[in-house]
Parts: sequence; C-alpha cells; structure tokens
Amino acid sequence: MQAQAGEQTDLFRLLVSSVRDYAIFLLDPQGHIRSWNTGAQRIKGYNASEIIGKHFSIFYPATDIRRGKPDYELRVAIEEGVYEEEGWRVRKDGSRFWANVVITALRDATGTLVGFAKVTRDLTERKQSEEERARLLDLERQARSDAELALDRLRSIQMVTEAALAHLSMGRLLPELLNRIGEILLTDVVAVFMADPDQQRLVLESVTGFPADAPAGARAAIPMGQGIIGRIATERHGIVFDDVPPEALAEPFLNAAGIHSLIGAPLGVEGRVLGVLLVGTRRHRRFIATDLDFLQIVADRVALAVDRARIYEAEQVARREAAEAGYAVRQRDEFLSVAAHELKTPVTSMRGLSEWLLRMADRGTEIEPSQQRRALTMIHRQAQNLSRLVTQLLEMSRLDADRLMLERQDENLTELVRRAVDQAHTQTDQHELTLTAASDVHASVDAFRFEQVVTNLLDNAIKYSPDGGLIEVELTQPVPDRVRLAVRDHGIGIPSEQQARIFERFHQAHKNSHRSGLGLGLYLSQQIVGEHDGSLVAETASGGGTRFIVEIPVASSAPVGSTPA
Amino acid sequence: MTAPRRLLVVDDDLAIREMLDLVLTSEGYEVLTAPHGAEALRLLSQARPSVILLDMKMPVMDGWQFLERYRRLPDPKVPIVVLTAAQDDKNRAADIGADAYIAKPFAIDDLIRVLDQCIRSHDRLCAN
Repeated sequence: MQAQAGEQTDLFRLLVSSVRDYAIFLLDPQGHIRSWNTGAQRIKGYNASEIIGKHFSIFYPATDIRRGKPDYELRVAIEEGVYEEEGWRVRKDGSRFWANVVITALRDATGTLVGFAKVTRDLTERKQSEEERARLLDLERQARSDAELALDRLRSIQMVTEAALAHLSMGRLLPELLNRIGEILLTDVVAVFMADPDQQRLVLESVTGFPADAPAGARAAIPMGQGIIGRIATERHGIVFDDVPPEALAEPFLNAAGIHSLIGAPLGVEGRVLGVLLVGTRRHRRFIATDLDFLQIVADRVALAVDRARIYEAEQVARREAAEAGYAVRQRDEFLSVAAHELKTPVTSMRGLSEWLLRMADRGTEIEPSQQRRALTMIHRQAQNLSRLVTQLLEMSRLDADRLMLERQDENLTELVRRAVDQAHTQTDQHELTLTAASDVHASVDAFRFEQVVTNLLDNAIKYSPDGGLIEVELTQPVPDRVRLAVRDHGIGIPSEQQARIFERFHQAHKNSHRSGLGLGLYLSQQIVGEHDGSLVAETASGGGTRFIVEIPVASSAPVGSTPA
Repeated sequence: MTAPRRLLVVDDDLAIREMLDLVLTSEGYEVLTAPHGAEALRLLSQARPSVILLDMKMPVMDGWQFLERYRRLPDPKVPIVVLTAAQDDKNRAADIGADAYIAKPFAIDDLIRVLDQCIRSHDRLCAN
C-alpha cells in the first residue's frame, strides 16, 4: 500500500510537471515558490532553478506590489480557502500577460497551513480578443452615432431643399430651421442675416437663442464688410472662431448674444451673396471641420430656398401687374369702343338731318316751316348731347388729374331740379316724369356740377326703363340740415351682382343688352356728390325698378379757421 | 314700282327714329317706328312694310333675337337693312338673313339708294 501510494504521488507529480497550459506550483506559507512545472516555465519564462525559493510577488506589476496585493491574496486564500481573480501579471522579460489565477490554501490533517497551490492560466489572447471586441463595439457605437448625426444633418439639409422646391415662405421656414441647426450643432445662438436690396447692409432676418431684452442696437443692420458678420458676406467664405477675438466681442450683435465661439457661412447662390448664416456658443467650444461643412451646406440650401422664394414672389407680382395692366387696357379699349358708339348716335342724327336739309335745298324743294323747325330742334338737341358727352370725357380726364374743383354757393335746388326734369322730358316720348318738391329747397352746391348729377340720374332712369313708364323725382329735406334727392324708375333694375360695381368708372350694368352711355355717369355723379360731402346710393325699389338717392348737407363744411370774415 | 312704300324703323334711340321719320317721310315713305324687336313684331302683325330698317343693339329684344323670330314667322319676308355702328355685325347679319347693311353714321343719299335697291329687287322677286 505504501509503495503504491508513493508510486501514485510520483505519477501525480509527473502529471503536474508536464502540464503545459497551466502554471501549477506550490508556495510555502510565506509565499515563496516551492515547486515549478512546464506550464509555469512556458507562461512566466523562468526555469525551476532560477525561481524556486523566490517570493511569488515577483510575478506582479509594481503597482500591485506597492498596494500589497500579493499578501492580500494569500490572506484571502487563508481565510476563505481559495482566492481567484483575473489580472495583469509580469513575465521574466517584463512583459505583461492577462492571467486567471487560483490560489488554494493547503492544510495538513491537523488544519495547519502548510502552503498554497497556485494555478495560473494565460488568458492574454482571450483578453485581447475581448478588448478587440469591446473596441469594435465602441467603434460601431461611435459609427452609429456619427451616422445618426450625419442623418440628422442630412435631414436638415433635405428640409431646406424641400422648402426651396416647394416655394415655402422663408418667414415660416426660417425659425424652424434655425432651431434645428441649433439642436444639431449644439449651439446657443443661430441667426440669419439677409443682405438688403442694394447690397449695402445685412439685416437680422431671424434668430434663436437671442436674449429678448437685448438693446435695440444689437439688432441693427450691419454694413457689408464690417465686423465678423459683415466680412463673411464680402469675403464669401465660412469662418470658425473657437475664441472670438476680443475686438469682435464689441460688435453689438455678438456682444448682446454673449457669443464666445462661432461658425459663420455666407448664403450664396450663383455667385451672389444673399446673407449670412451664423451659429455661436456662449461657452468655449472646439468646432470640428464637419461643423463648418454642415453649416455651409445648409447655408447653400437656405440661399437657394430664399432665391427661389424671391423669384417666385417676383413672378407672382409680375403676373398680377400684367393682369392688372391687361385689365386696364381692356377697360380702356372697351371704353373707347363705347365712347365711339355713343358719339355715333348724335352724329348719325345730325348728319342725316343736315344732309336732308341740303338735299331739299339742292332740289329747290320748299320745306314746311314746322318740319324745318323739327329738324333744327333735333339737330340742336343732338348737338347738346354731343357736348354733354364731350364734357363727360373732359370731366373724367380732370378727375384723373384730381382737378374737380367745386364753386359752391347757395342755390335754389327746387328750380335746378325742375329745369333738369323739363330737359329730360324732351329726351323721351315714352316716359312720364313727375317732380315732387318743396317750393324753395336751398343748399350750398356747385350748380353746374349738381345739375350734371341730376341729369345723369334722369338719363339713367330713362335708359333703364326702355318700356317707358313713370319716373318719379322727389326733393325733400328729411332733417333741416340735409337735402335728399330721389330718382325712381320702374325699369329693368340693377342685377344684384352688379350693385357693388355700378359706381365704378366705365362700368355698365347692362352693357351686353343695349347701349348705355359711356359708363361714366354714375362714377362722375358719385365723385361730384362726394365733393359736396354727400352720399349717392342705389336701391332696388319695392315694386320694381331702381331708386337713386342723393343726400348732401345744406351748408358746405368749410374747414375750421378758414371761414372768410 | 308699286304703290305702298312703307318702312319699319326699329331702333332704341329716339334721335335716330325721329330723324328717319322726318327724312324718309319727306322722301315719300310711310314710316313706322319701334324702339325694340318685340314692338316691331307687334307692328308686323298689323301692317306689312316694304323694308325693315333694323338696329342690332337694343333693350328688351335686340336685332339678333328679332331676326330669329322673324325668320320663323309664316308671312312672306321683306328685305331687311341692318343699321348698326358695330363693323363686325356686317357678316353676321348677312349670315342670319339680312339683305343689306349700312353703318352708322350713314349718308342719307346712301340710305335712300339702299332702300330703293332693296324695294326694287324685292318687287322683282315678288313679281316673278
């Protein structure tokens, strides 16, 4: 049995000594090396003769030795039976390796500590691959976050590009965009300055992170070329200041914004500088190259968007102006054609009558005096019509030049209106005209102009009741200081959709159905009544037809202090 | 040339109606007048003129509307002279069946010549 046991111990020793992958050796209770094996020699680099008897702390890095780590490990092994860890150890040649270490306290049958068994495995390769993996993970994380940042930046660029394509108004887009840029670049202040039309100044267009209580001067326009912001525009390239130079800190905008570090980029499109995009931080910041790249790309897109928005707006304005000009031209053409038509009626009548008179004279045919008188009366009346048309044309050009001057004086309106009604009677054989008026209604008017108004209203009443009928004229004083003239016909009325426009110049409510004058009558009348501080309105009369109502004050309202003595 | 030289003048303008009435009456026509197409149709139901002088732009019933209705009447047709200030009405008037066209302002001699021609050719057609 004894011999067998001894044989087994020898075999075991042989096994241990030949293990290559583990350093397996014994320590005495103080930590001195008592045995060595092949694995220990391979891993640690010492051979048995040079290491046996040395203290095991020789395998530890200097810092661990200073901290008393070897002794600590033995104490743990004594107290708990075993100590295990992974940590750095040192080879004979001074190189480090990552070791898995197990120290087991060895006790005899009585429990007395006789030493330690120490098993060490070299995990350097595993450690390296773990570290490599961690490094790769880290790289991946970094790459991912870079990619996210890049994507974020890309989205911002896309946002501006889309805005440029969609003709979004920059007023709506800019604040949102500036917030976005500030988030991405982690800056406190983001501002856009736009060059004014004559390229003399940069005007603060939009800003985020700017103190609300900044002095007014902080937002003042910046002359081109002046200061950091002005120079970005004239020099046409971006700049980065990790530390804004002290003299620039005095610039009102930078000062009020409290900017310490900044990047700025010109808003350029097709060689033109439209403005400047600026971001800044209040604390010191080291900007990186891609920050400026990003800002420049955004600036290019903002410039494009602004440019397109402006072109679009200019196009809209031009289109509107062209449409208005076209409308004015059409209106004028129409007016000229109407005017020509209107002139033709009296001319046709006068020409026919005069040629007839000449024809009779040439033939030596006697004309009955009554017929002669009829012809001459007609010629005379048409001559009057012609001169009225000419007067209207002149009035219109005078009104265009704002030269309608009234000469107001006290007039007997009852007589004035009666004259106009009598005159209108001669224009028609189909209408009955009635005048209801108090005997002596007086007011301060320009008699010539006011008679024009009355005549216009009567002409309209005749024209727009082609089937004849009653035309009622009323002159009243609803209150002592106002005069009211109403002209009511029983004619075709004013289509409701036309009511708002009948007082416009050249407007003819019924222009498609028949001739209706120059389209000036109501326009002129309203101007004249307006000059009398009065009002002219049209209403649809109950029972059909139209009622025009003029109201003017009895006395003229001379400006205070200018009343003649 | 046959006896009744009756004319119907359709024009919304009193000045034109009065002038044509005076002048053409003294030229030996019997002149009827109407201020628009509807009144003209009413008169035609009572009297048959030799010629109709027709203005185009009128209230109530304009010249075009009148021509359409007139064409559909069963009565034998009489020559129509379109009397208008609008130049481009000329072709349109011919298309719709007007026999002659005279632009305002016209010379009385021209008008009388056109009226005579119309009446003569119409009389020939009727005689055939």
